Amino acid sequence: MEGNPITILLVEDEDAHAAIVKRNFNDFKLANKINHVKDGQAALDYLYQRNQYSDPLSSPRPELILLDLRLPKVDGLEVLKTIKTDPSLTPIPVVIMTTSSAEKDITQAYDNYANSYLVKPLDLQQFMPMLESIGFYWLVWNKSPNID
Amino acid sequence: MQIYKKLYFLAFYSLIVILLPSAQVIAKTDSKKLEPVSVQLRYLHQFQFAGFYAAINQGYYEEAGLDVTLIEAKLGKQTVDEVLSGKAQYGQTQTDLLHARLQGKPVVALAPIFQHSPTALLVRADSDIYSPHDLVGKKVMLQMGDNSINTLAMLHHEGVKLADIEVVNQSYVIDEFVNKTVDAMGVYIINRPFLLEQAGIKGRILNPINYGIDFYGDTLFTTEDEVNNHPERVDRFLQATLRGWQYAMDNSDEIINLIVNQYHTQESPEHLAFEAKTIKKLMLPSLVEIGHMNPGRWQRMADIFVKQGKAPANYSLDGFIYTPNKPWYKLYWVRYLFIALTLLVIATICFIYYWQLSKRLQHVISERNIAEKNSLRLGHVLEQSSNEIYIFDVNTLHFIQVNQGGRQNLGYSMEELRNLTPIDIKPEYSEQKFYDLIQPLQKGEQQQLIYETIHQRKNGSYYPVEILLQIYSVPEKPIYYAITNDITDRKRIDKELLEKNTELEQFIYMISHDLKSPLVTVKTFLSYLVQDIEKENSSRIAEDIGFMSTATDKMSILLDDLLEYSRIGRQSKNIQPISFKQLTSDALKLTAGNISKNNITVQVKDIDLSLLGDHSELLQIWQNLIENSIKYMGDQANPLIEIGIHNIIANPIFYVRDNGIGIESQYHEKVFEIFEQLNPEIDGSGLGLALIKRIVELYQGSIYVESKGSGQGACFLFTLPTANNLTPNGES
Repeated sequence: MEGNPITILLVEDEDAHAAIVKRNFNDFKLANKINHVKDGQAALDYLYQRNQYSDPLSSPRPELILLDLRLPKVDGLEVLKTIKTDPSLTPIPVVIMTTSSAEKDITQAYDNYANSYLVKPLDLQQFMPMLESIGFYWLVWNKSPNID
Repeated sequence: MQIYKKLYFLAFYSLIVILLPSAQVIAKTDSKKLEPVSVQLRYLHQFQFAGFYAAINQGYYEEAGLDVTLIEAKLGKQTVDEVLSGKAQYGQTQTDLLHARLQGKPVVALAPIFQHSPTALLVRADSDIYSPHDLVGKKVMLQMGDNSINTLAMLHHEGVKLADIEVVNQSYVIDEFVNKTVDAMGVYIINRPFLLEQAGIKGRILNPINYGIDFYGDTLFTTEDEVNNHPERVDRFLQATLRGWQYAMDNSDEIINLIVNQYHTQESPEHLAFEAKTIKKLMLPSLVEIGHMNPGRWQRMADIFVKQGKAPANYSLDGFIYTPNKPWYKLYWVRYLFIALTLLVIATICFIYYWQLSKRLQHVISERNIAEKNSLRLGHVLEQSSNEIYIFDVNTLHFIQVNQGGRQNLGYSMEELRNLTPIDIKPEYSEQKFYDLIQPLQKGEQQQLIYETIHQRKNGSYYPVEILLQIYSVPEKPIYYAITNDITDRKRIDKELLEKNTELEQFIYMISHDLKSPLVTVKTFLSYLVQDIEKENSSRIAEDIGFMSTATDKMSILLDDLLEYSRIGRQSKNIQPISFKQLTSDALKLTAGNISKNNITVQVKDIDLSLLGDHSELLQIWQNLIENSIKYMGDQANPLIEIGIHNIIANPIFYVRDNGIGIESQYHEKVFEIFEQLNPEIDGSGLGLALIKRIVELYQGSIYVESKGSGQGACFLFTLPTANNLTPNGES
């Protein structure tokens, strides 16, 4: 794992929530880099390396996408649909991480091939182990097809 | 109905009781042979007996079951004696009848034929005898018998004593009178004056009637034996004879001919005619009913007999005057009374029946009238109903009747509709599909069908309908009828409701998310804060507090905006005129802090328009738009906000324009959605524009944004139709 830069794309409009994720992943030392975008449009621009995300060094293809559903401009579900209908992006695991536990959201997410759906806990004591598990599961144990 | 049956039976029964006896009589006379009876005449055949000839000739006796033989008088034979001896059953004679009775002979007077006696005294016209007194000392030829008793009574009454006159025995020969052998002569005025006239002598009559002596003349009679043994025959004979007399009086010439031709009279037709004329005077057929008998007159006549010493003072006329000895039910008047009563009963029954019937009929008619009126009214109501009512044929499916509501909505006339079927106006239905639909009705499996579809009007437009289809199964010609509602309004309301529901769902969803989000932040960073304080990591402590503070601010704004949003349209409104200038100046005062802080230039077009609406609602539109422009001004070097109105006269369009960061075209509609916030960097709940949109819609207006894209500024334009005051006080 060392020497292999691992990038997580965090799509989160809430700065505070992004901070929580970043702090935890930094603590686990699981990822080299967490790239944070604040809306759906920015997420798509990043994945397609458009505009300010055109440099593959600063904006590398992520190994995991943490995607909030409620996003400005283009919402999370649209971003998910785009990823899961584009064969070049499909292999990237997308973990939905949102405050909503609405049945409709969960169903729609899985209908559009989300890899996992997590509800942000209110308590840090639950949030931390959850984020740790995500990291280990998707970044260490889970095997994804090699795209390159 | 029972009572009617009983009454009818009763009426029918009484009719039978009344009519049966006469029916029996008729049956008897028809079946039996005629009974032979004889009539003794007082004289030879002459008009004096005309009634008998008429009755025989007209068949009245035959009808009465009698075979009548007339017997002429024979010299020396008294009529009464002949009848009493049984040689004849009936007779016609004069006053001697009463005398016979007064002498105790069992004769019965049936009917006086002549109401007045024809016996009188005849004197020559050239004599000086004018009254009975003038007879004193004169020769008077007079029969001293019964039939002269009225003459004798006249003399007696006038105080002329028989001793003072010379009575000569009656020879009935006119010669003595003509020869002046006698001064006066007792005559039968029926024929004597005629003979005198024939002889060329004029006479004068001294008639007892003129002196108060009024005797019955010829009288029809019989015996007590006949009355007792053959009471019914007596009646038949009497009635037939009187009918005969009536006929003879009406047809005297015919009877004269009859007498001349069949009875071989010695008298000439002229003589008979004279008799007929005289008899008519005596009978008074036009004044008195033929045969009418007054017991009082018989009484007075009998008294004269007593005075003349020809009868005892203690006489009795019992049994002399005939009273028809009929059973009560045979009496004509009783019969007539019964018939009258029966008719009355029948009439009453009929009246009651028809009265009841008419009452029932009236009731039925009035009920039917009411029913007809009601059904007529129902017809009118159905015709004019805004429900569309279609009646169409079960086989051809052609419309038979379509009410006004249907015709008007479709735009077809009734004539056009008669050539159309429901399939023609239901674009969603093919012929097969429609037949499948109505199959359950046709088979009787279902009573009615309720379904929704669309109708196509004549002009090609559509409208949604709900249809209640039923079959009216009269055996002769079943029909389909469809009661149809145009559900355009309902569909619209349904759609609006659905939209509202979706909006509400969205609203709740957003609230739950947007409220939960800062909560997660606060709780999580609180935990971090505890850790960081332990570790005395001051930079992290500041960061933790910062996140928490931001989250709580966000929550506070969100709650404020939510409250604001929920108030719109619910608050009691204070509608009043307010000018555009006033509104913009108020809005700018409220946002003055941020405007000056950001060095923004504001230009308000120098124009005015009076608006009518709730001040705080209208103010909120401009205030929020100005705040929005300030928020999204970006790093514009010369920030500018322009406020104004386009198209002020026809349809005012208000605008708020800025030269800020602008909005990319794909988000132009999204910006007005609730909780939609394009830029998470900027404080706000995402409710601001949604709130403006809601107010604008309350005033029936619309709002949209124009922006050439990122960095190009944005212009919000909106209309407020119901807030337009009709009296603009604009300067232009």
